[in-house]
Amino acid sequence: MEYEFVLGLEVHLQLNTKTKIFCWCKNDPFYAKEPNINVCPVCLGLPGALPVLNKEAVNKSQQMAAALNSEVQGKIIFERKNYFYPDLPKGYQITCPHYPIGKAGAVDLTYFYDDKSSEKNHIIRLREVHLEEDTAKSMHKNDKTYIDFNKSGVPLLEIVSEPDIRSVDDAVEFCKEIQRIARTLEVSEADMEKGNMRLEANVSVRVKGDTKLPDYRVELKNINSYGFMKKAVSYELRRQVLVLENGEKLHQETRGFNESTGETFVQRSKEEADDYRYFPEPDIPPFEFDLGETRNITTLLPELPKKMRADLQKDGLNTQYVNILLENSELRRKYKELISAGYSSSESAKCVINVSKYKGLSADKIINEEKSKSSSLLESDNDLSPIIDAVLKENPEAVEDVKKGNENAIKFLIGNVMRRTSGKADPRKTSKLIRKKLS
Amino acid sequence: MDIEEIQKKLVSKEASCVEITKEYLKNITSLNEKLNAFITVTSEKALSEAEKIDNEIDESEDLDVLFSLKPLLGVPMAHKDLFSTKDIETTAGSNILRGYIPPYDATAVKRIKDAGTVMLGKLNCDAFAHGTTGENSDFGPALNPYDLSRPAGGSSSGSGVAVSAEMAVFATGTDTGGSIRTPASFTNVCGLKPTYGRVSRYGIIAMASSLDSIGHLTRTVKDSARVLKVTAGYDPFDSTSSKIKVPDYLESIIGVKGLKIGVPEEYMGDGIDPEVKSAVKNALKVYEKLGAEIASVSLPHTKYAIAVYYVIVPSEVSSNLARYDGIRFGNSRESFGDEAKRRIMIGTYALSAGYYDAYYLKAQKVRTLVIQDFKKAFEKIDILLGPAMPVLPPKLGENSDDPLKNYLLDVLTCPVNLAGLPALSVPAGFSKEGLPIGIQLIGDHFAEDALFRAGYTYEQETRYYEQKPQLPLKGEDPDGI
Amino acid sequence: MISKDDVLKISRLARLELNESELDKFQRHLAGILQYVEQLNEIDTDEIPPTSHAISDLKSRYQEGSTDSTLSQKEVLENAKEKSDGYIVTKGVL
Repeated sequence: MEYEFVLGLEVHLQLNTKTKIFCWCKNDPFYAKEPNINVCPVCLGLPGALPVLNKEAVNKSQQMAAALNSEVQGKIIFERKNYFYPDLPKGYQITCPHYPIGKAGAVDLTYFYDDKSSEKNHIIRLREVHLEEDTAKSMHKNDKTYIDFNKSGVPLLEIVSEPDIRSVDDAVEFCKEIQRIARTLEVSEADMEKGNMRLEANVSVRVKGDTKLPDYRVELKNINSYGFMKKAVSYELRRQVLVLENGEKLHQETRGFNESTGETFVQRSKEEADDYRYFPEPDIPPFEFDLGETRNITTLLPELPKKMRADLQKDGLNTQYVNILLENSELRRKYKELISAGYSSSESAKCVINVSKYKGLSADKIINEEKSKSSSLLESDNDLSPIIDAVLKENPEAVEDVKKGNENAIKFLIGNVMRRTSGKADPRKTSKLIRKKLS
Repeated sequence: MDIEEIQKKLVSKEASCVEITKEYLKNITSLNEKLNAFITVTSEKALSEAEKIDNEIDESEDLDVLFSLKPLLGVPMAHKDLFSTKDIETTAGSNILRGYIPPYDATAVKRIKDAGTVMLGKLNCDAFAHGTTGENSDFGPALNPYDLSRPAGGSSSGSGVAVSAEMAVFATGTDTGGSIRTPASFTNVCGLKPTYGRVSRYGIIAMASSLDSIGHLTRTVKDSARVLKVTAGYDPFDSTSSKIKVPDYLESIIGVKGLKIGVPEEYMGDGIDPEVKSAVKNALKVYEKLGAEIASVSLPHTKYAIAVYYVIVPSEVSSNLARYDGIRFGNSRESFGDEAKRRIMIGTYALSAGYYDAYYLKAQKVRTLVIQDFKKAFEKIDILLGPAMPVLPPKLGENSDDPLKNYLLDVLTCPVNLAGLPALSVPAGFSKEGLPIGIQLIGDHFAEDALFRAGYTYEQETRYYEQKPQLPLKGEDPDGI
Repeated sequence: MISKDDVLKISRLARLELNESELDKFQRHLAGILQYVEQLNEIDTDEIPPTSHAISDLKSRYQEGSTDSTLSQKEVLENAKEKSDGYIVTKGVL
């Protein structure tokens, strides 16, 4: 029998606000020089201390929710999630899963796959996006637990997907897309190594073709790298299929992943499951936003990775170039500067990505370098003119577009000239000549 | 002495702050062993503070300015041990917090300090403020100065005793279901439970966060108004503190002509001690004589208030007491006393999966009905008047085997907390046996000014507050053993 | 009626270690109180909204101004039973 994944992810992002979510302590857990130095009565959970919400954390959460196509909610109500752990100083975590920042939403991964003919669905729906406080950091050694409260109370955004993910590749792309969006919006470094981004996966399997959700799910916690996720999730898939093929039943449980054996192991079974006893946080009144406020959040969003990617693809770049430029805002900026200086898209991409001696150079310097190189290039009218004439003849539609003032069409024609001359034509000269001939 | 008398002496140099402070410390030394009001006495700090104040007064060029900047200057006071005091042990009356030294001051502590007071120490209370008589303190009960065989009333038991027996001019307290009004009425002092959010809760050890109200006990109503003027007002550290302006309560503190006073019929029903009832009736006669209009009103959901209260309170308690794990501060959870354990157990049950709707949610809905009762009443009347406690101070240990019996004593006080209203308990006479009786005045949200006016006018007419416990204290071993 | 098993389960959730006599006592007390609370069922509350904050117009409160309430590392560790190298230490949990 053929089986398929039913996978849901919870992505936790530490927001890069100046202060912590419920107090005025510095939010800087990774770079703090010593343990327990960014700590006050509130984030240490001292008797009598009270939480006050940081507006920056709400703003950044709402931007993130809007960028994930989630419906930004007009009402947020914080609740207490009660459980005991030494890294949870108050014995409860303040969170808002029932009246969250955003409800629903979707991450569309279709645009990552070149094979558009495939009927595969790569749209991952979201359940909700909510804001909560991070716990302290605990380390275990010699039978003791060492606790550092610098991380306690760092704002944490939790993005919860529906169990729509059907492949390990989609799982990774889903997380990467969230990472890209967070970085584009500058709400989180989203660096897994620094712990700004953490993952939890809920894994189950079903017979391919089934539409019903399985009656169990295995929770994989504390996933701290994509490699880890790939290994753990793939192992789970194999393990669960084997159990089902043996005619046995799978159960709700939490499993950890042992990196040295490459296997997962039971951490907690359903019988020991927590009862979190949620109730509205009496120390924090509800938050309300009118329709204008929530709409504005979407309107004011900057350009998002999906649109950037579409534009890069329109420029005619190959997938590899597109992905590199998408990941790196610095390269993307240089690429755009080269384009506006008249270089073709492929030439620009090649310069900023592939030419090793250009690494670290500003766009201006790259252009200068290119110019000095171009003295050996074709730049006399006599050399260029016949080639340009041929290109114009072959592309009457583009010629018409240029006459209508379409700048993209000029770029297209320059690109053609470049290709014909194996990149030896001087782009500025070419551009000038084309304009002259068509004016 | 009240605040005015003390400050007059300071201004006229009739007495120095050090002398006044010593007088109160002397009372503490001679009485605390019998009454058990103080858990911690900070004599040295108090005297050095008093000395600074004397210097400040000596060096001041304009005493009017000094006293207006520091309206409580030179006044010896004490805090309920639920208030965090920087560098001074804060136990909440519990074993689990024995030895805990807060690294910060509660906002109310800071404001009272900045107003120029001298802090004498920390006062006994029911552990975590869980109690109606004061007998749940892990430090033993504070005893009633009017009869040592009876408790002082809780949970702010030490606060009532300290003010009553002149071991402090005023004392802070917290009121979640009657914890200020009960000891006030049992010890013949004035107790204010302000509107929820009027005084910041920051730094005060929480009992039930949606009900806790921060107030104080004083000898007179004017003192109560003076202290509230200092403690009230918005605090950026408490999201539930109100931004509504704090009025000058002393400006129009006298006169009840035309004041519409409602008497809830449910507060004068069967379970009320006849002596308490007759004290209330006498008070109504006084008010009528002074020109107030008396009307009967109904708060039909009063009988459900205890049930609502004893679901909501333990639920919030179970969560608020989760931070006591003995790791960052305090001792292990085994050191919780019986009442704390009991409330944690009830609350954990009421919030647990499958029971939330039947208990917690149900209670929150009936809470809405209790609030609506009050809202309707305040459409027709200005303030409500009734007994503070349904009974006279009980004997020590009277209800110890049946927690529910103790809980039922909160019947007239806890509805006020469910609705977040302000209430003032003022002395209203004595029983045949000489035990104090208090009445409570209940106002609409933020109507503390109306309560002070009604309370002050009544107090000036009746002057019960002038009576003080007789020495030797009743029930005191004549040999002093 | 609340069973002794229920009481045991709750005590575990609440991280309270109760001995036999405490379990018996609290079973009795809890049963009494829960029975008393039953009277709330006399009231039809289907159409009644719950109240969780007594002052209902209190809304949208954020941090205002900047304050410095951060403690020194010494103050953070001061009340801890066990500490080491700037960390608060407790017995191992895994």
